Amino acid sequence: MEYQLVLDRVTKQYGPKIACDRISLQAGPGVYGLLGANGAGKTTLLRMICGVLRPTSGDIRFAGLDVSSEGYRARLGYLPQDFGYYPEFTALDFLLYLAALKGLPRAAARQQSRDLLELVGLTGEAGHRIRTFSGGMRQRLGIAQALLGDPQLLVLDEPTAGLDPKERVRFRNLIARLGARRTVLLSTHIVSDVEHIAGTILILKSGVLLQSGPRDAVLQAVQGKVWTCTLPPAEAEALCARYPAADTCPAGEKVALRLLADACPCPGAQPAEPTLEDLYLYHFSEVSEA
Amino acid sequence: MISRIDPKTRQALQAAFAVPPPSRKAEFLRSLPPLPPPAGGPLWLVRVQLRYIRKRVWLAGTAAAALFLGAGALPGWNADRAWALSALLPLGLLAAAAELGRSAPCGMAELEQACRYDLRQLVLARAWLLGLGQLPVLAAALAAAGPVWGAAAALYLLAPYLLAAWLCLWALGVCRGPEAPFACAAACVGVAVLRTALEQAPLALYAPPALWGWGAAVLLGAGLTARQARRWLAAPGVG
Repeated sequence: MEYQLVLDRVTKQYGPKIACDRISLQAGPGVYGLLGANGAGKTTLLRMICGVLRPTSGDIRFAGLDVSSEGYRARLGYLPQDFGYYPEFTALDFLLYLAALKGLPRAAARQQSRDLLELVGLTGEAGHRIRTFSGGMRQRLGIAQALLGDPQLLVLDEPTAGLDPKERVRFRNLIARLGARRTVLLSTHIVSDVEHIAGTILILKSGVLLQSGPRDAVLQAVQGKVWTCTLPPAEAEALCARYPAADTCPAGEKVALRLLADACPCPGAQPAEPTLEDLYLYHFSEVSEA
Repeated sequence: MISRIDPKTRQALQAAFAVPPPSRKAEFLRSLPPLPPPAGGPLWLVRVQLRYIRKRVWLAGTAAAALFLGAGALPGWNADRAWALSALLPLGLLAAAAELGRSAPCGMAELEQACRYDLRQLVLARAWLLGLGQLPVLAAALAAAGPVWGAAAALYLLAPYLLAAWLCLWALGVCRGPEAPFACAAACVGVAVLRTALEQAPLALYAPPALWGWGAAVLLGAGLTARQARRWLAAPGVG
């Protein structure tokens, strides 16, 4: 059975500032990557979806349950962008504490906690205090707690922050598996994470949902706008000042550029297939806004 | 800029750009497959929390109750003072209040707010259970006081206990953060002091006609405590 997360014109306003502007969304099982620059409203939106913030207007439901209901929260797993811990807690204590808040019976919570610690590679650290953990270990512990109770709606805010490449690959594989029968909402500004995991990409800018759809569909916005060329350094620099540069790298005595432009930016420039990074730059580059 | 626009123009703009009302929204929501309701509610919360309270916490709660009430049996203390000590039993809620105040400084508030149950609900459920765990001690105190005071001893012990418990819960609801434990302590000590002050007044507190007053105090305390507790258990906080 498919359960849907439905956002109906969700708005969050702080005085004159609109952090999220009438965002509407319908999300069934799958992985949804929320992409946006810092200050785009990603965290605000996710906090509203998790019931931590109350929307100014609009409503949020999962399988017909309102966000403030116990039934909604019983099916939610959340990893915030920043989270702390009680200093005296061990990794296992932390998971059991959150399991208690999630209303899980203790025996089941204990078993799940051990299984999740194994899943995130922290079995050996179960009895160690969290204050001795590295940033990556704490992040993995955070991912583990989000999975307590086998949630059907999983919200992850910058989940790969602090993870090394091996852990990130492991995390991606985990999320891809989980997304098969759950709704996973993943917020990040790391484009490669979204590109590898998300089936649907949501672009958020200044509180507005600019685009949403599969990768190929959203890339239509920059189709025909990505160009590659090789130029002497001085010309390359001049072009970079005019157009957003997705990539610059030395090529002998010249510089190879990958630029975003509505039309051919210079003689000899070749059109290129757009990537998600190009799309990100297209929407969020300071040069493009100038 | 908006404030400088002519009011009529502003109204016209708002009307022109107003979001249209949803069409067939109710029908759409009804068409979504519903989730089966989870086992839940306040009773489930209390039941689940029972297994989370560690043995040493049960022991500490019972020992604290025995200590306070046993102090009333020390030489030099009369039973009147012992009754006032029962108002200090909800001091166990102080530890709970201290827990509530740690969330924000430790960066756990956001995680806790997104959970099924609010931390306050959790703390209250456990405090309730621990309070129930203190009942055998109260019963033992009653058994000891019974030959002298009779069944009325139950009222003399319960009245300040319930009133203090209600005031603690109310204080925890009003005062959030680091002031909460102090508010709880003030509530408990306040009731104990009031109780002692009444002893000093020329009132026939233990005369048979006064039993009605004690009974009313117990019922009032129980009702207020239950109402406050029900509010906490039923309503998670949303930011």
